Amino acid sequence: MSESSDRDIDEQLQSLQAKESEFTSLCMFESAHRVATEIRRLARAERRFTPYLRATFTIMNNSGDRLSIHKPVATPPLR
Amino acid sequence: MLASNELARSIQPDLSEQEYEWAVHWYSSCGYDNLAKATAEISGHNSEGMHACISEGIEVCRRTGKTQCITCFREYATDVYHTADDTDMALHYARMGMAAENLESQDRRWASVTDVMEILLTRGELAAASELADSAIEFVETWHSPIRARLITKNILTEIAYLLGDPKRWEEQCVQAAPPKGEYLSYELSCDCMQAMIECIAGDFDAAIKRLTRWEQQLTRRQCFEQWAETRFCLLAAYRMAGNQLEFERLADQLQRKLQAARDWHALRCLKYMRDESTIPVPRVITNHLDVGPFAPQKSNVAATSSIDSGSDSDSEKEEDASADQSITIDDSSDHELPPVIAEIHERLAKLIADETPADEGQDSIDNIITDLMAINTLDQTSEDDRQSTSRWALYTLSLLVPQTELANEVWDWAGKLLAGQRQDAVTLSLVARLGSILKYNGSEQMSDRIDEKQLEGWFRESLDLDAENASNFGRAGDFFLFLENLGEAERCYARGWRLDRSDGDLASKLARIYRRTERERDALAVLDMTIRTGTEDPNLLWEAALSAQVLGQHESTLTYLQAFDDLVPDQPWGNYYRTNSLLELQRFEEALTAVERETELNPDSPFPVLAQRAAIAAGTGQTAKLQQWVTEILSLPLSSIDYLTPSGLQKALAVLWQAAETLAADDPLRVQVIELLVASHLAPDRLFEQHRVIGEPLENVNFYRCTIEQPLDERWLNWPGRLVGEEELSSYQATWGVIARSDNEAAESVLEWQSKCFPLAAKILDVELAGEGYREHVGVVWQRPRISS
Repeated sequence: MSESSDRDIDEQLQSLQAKESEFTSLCMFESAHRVATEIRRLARAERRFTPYLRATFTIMNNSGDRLSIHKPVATPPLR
Repeated sequence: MLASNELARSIQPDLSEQEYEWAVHWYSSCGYDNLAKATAEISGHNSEGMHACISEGIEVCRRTGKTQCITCFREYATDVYHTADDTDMALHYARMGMAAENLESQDRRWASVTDVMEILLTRGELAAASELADSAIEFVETWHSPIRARLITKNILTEIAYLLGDPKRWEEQCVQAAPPKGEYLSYELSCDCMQAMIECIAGDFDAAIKRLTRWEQQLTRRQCFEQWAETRFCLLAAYRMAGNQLEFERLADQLQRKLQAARDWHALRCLKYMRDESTIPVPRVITNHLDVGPFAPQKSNVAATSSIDSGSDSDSEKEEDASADQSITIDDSSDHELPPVIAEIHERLAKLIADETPADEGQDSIDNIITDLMAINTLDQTSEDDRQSTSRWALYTLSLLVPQTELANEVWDWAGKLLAGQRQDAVTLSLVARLGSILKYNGSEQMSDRIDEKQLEGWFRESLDLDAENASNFGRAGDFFLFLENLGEAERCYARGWRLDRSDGDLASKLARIYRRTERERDALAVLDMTIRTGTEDPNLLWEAALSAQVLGQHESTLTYLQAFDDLVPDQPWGNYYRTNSLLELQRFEEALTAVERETELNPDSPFPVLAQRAAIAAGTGQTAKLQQWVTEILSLPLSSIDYLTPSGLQKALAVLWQAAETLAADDPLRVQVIELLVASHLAPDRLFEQHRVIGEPLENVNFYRCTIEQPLDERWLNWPGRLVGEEELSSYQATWGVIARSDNEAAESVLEWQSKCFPLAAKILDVELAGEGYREHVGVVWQRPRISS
């Protein structure tokens, strides 16, 4: 993968993380959840451990507020 | 992923070690926190393993260095203890959180104050809860998510305002627009519960019931047990206020079954209160009548309504209740009346113990007594209660005797038959399980094979399910789990037993010891203190509390406990030693001198720590000549002769000695000798190194290392001043040093320089571990740790 493509993905992840943080701070947990799920998918596909882990924690942290404790966090398969 | 580097690399194959370690450090404690909360939400806060999560979570925080997250586990402990129906301890945890001022991102005082308010509200202490409103409002802005804190606080304040009969009380405060519908479901649930309460107060019960029923169905689908139970309580309150007793009872029965399965003792008590027809219907869950507002009983009714609850919250009420609800319990200090046939056996035992001559043929023996115990025909007893009591006492007595008998097999056969006839009696089941565990672990290999550990565990657990109100049963189960080193379950059992009987010093002490083992000294002291306040006159408990308070630096409390101890058992050795330690910390030198002189009289064979204290008093009062005299005397005592102090006791005494010696001039030969002695003992206090290290300006970008050395020894070791008692056989030892340095080479050099003061032979470096980097600090040795045999 080229350096510029790598940078694009990192920027894309950062932008999604900023969006997720904003939703979380506004207590919009469903929206934050949707963005975190997308971050998780992208991070796994593009092999980024830290964003993947962080998004997983966001999903877990918000599950109580979304009354969705019991639902397992779906793990997308590796490409 | 946080436990497996390999799994993490399946996500990112080129993940660096540094990035992975950072993730482990940052997320491990949060992972534990999430797991604990989710498990609690699904299975309840009092389900198995929940207590263990508190200590394990705290341990993970310490292990990964994220100590600021310990507060999260204290909040979690608040919920665990609340569910276990120990509101005093729940308040203890929550109030500790409130007191933990931290203005950085980890400030969690808001969560703690709302916990305290909820606990107080449930206890009916509406006035006290409302007094905390200002703190809750103040702390909202310190929470990491102020919008969320504002939303939740608003609901709490609205609830309190309505219960006070003053709905507009905080109307202008904590104003926050709600997020769009569907975004924050748990908040929407909270708002609907609130709205239902308001509707109930207004008499619109149908609207409230409809609103809550809809949520109940949704929560059932989502398997959110705890929130479902909370909603069911609101629904029950609505039915009760509406006067629909039939539906109320039907729904209450359902809830009761689920709460029993989850062992949610607090909610069960709330339900019991709600089902009591003599209590005033209130639109929220409580365990005691509200103390103020329109739902508070009229003054003349207070006595009648407050005495209903058998498990009241405050200790004073608990005392009154104790006589009303006395189930038969058998414990080690039981003073219940013995059945005559058992009393006779105990008399024979007393005679046997008193008679120290070897047993002749025809003389009584333990085996004879055991045989007679097993031969007791309980059918001779006139009532079922007497029969049961006799069987229990027989089991209890046998459990004391079986370690000394060859009749283990026969005893176990007998216990099996007895149990078959009384399978549903919780105490009998618990006593048989205890007898079994003694036979299995203290007896022969044959018994160890014959008795199944899983079955014993099952019996202990079943006994607790059969009777969740028997403190002794919980104590016995706690002993079993402690023996198996299952500290979490032991804690859960002891905590519940102690909740049921606050005056039980034995249970309090065992629970405190578990807290201490999991580095929760403050919680240990809270437990001991609560039991002491019940009026229990147990000198051991006072002693334990005194030592605990001293470790925590609570010196005034230490002196109070020691005084109470002295009042019960005067003139004991060591009491004045600990008293002097606290008086020295408080710089009350005159009283310290009186105490140390008394200790010298009472404890003449343990001179070292007392001489160190005398030196510290001389130093504190500026008497240099006297100080030199005491230090000279101390240096004449070889450390290897001190067999009356524990390693930590010796360490403390040496710290006191250094506190005194450091007031001597830097070139005073006595001071130099003390430094040599302390360093050679490997028990030198950190402060000694700090004074050598902190000179001049600190350096940028320095690292912290842990260095392990190996020190060879020779024939000089036997008489070496740094040798401690029991170390005469050592031929070499290993020890770890903490050091700040610019590089690992510099770290090793610093350590070897200090180590060369420990023994004349050259030591070698075994390992230099980088433990932290990028500090602005003074370089040099920070600490040394006690040596171990290599």
